[in-house]
Amino acid sequence: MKRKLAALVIVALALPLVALAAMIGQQEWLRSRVTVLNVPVRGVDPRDLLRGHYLTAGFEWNWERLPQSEADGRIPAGALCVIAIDAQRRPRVRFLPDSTAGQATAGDCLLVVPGGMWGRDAFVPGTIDTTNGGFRLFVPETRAGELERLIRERPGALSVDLAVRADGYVSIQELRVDGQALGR
Amino acid sequence: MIAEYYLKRWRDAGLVDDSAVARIGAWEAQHRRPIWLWALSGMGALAIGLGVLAVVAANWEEIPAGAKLAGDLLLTGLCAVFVFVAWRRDQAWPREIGALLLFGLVIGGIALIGQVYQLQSEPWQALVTWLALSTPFLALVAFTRMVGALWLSAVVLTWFSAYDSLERLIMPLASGFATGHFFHLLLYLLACLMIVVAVVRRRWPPAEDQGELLLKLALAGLVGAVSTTVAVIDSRLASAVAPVEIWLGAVATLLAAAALWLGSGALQRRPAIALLGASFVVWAASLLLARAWNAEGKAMFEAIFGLLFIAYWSAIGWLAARGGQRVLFGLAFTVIGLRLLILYFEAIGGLTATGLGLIGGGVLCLALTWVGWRLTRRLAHGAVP
Repeated sequence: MKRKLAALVIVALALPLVALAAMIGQQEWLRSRVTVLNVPVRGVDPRDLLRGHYLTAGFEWNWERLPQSEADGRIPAGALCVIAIDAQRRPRVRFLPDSTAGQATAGDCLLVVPGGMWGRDAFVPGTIDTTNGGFRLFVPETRAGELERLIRERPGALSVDLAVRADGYVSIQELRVDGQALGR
Repeated sequence: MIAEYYLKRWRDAGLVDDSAVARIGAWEAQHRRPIWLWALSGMGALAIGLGVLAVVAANWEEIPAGAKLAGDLLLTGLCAVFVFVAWRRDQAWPREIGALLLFGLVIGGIALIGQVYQLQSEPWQALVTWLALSTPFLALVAFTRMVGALWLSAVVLTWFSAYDSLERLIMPLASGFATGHFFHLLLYLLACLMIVVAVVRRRWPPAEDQGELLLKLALAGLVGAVSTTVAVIDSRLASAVAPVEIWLGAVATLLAAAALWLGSGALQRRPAIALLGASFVVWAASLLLARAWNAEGKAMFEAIFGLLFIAYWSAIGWLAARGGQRVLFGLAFTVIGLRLLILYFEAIGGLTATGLGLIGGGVLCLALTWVGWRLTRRLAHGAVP
């Protein structure tokens, strides 16, 4: 009985350690075999209870053409089609509506990223949680003020590397300031 | 120290002799539980946990992400080994403090992973993961009431940080209803859920004390949930969802009642089940009354809700009197007095009337104090008021 209990205690104590290691492993695995895109961001600054300072940012996509609103003013549901990636890994994109016409042009896309439009030009990939078209970028406490100024005063100075899997799963890989990765 | 004070009082009153005082003093010295030391060490462990979180949140740029993650895993592993060794050697103090520290390190680790990989999940998801990973080891190695209370605080924090998501879960059952109207249901469900957890916890002999405290806190939460509902509910909050809420509340009540029935002895379960039943009846009645709310008869509805509140606390007072719980009885009496005073003020208006109201309210409080004193003395002599 005592041995059984000891085994249970070992399993229970090892569980958080194994789970944390698995979470790290999962994130590393998700980042292998991906296409990396670099997208400029824009935004404001509060704090996160658990993870410290962050910037709330939105993506600045390089649109070939903006999505067309429907007759009632709504932006249709759809995905992002990456049609070209330049030498700096910056993607040129167009909106791919869920309609048949949209699906017909999907063959030209290098990558297709499912997600949603939050306003006329704010597309957010479906795997990035958002309630208003913005997302959080966690930044060092000592540089939060400087980065907040930068993101407001010099559009395009901050960008993120997005890791995009072939199935369209997107995660944020890196925050860059003038092309330099932050905190790595 | 408290024991010494009472021993001196009883010796001076001639209730115990010197040898009995010496024997009791020696026994107390041997079985002393230095609560202040436990509280201090608990605060220390909590401070370390919060400190780890703050250091993680500071997000030092100079340390590479890989080193931060490796350091966190190493620290978590070392702490887990320490807890295991303390558990094997049956060292209560290091085991409990180590478990608390590990509890803090786990949330620190989750926060660090979220930060390093820029994960975009909501805070409640991190908190749920934290509880899922930590509850098994806390259940197996931590038996003090302090750890139990902190775990319960973490559950409450997690529950309310997931408020919006829980509302979205309930929403399809009450189609077309706006958000922000389920707080009384979420309060009530949490209290019932915690009663079930507490009863299960109390079944394991080493954790009996911890389970007992959790049960008391859960029942206090239930009383708080019902009192809040009766105090603040009106037609805006309940006109469309009451049937769904009552149905969900009934299921939760039945689960809690079944746990209490199966998990306690006959004498123990009766007052708890009676309190649970009274709570459900009052909670459901307030929702049904709110549905029938009529703007023209606002004063009458407020009076009815006031009386419902008083009836609920009278039931609590009666149960406390039957169980010989003087503190709870006194509390129920005070709450009823305060509500009566508020009811009295709700019925008046204007400066002269307010002045007269204050005089009348003061007289009412003094009269209630006199009645309360007489009832408490009867309770002390074993008679049910």
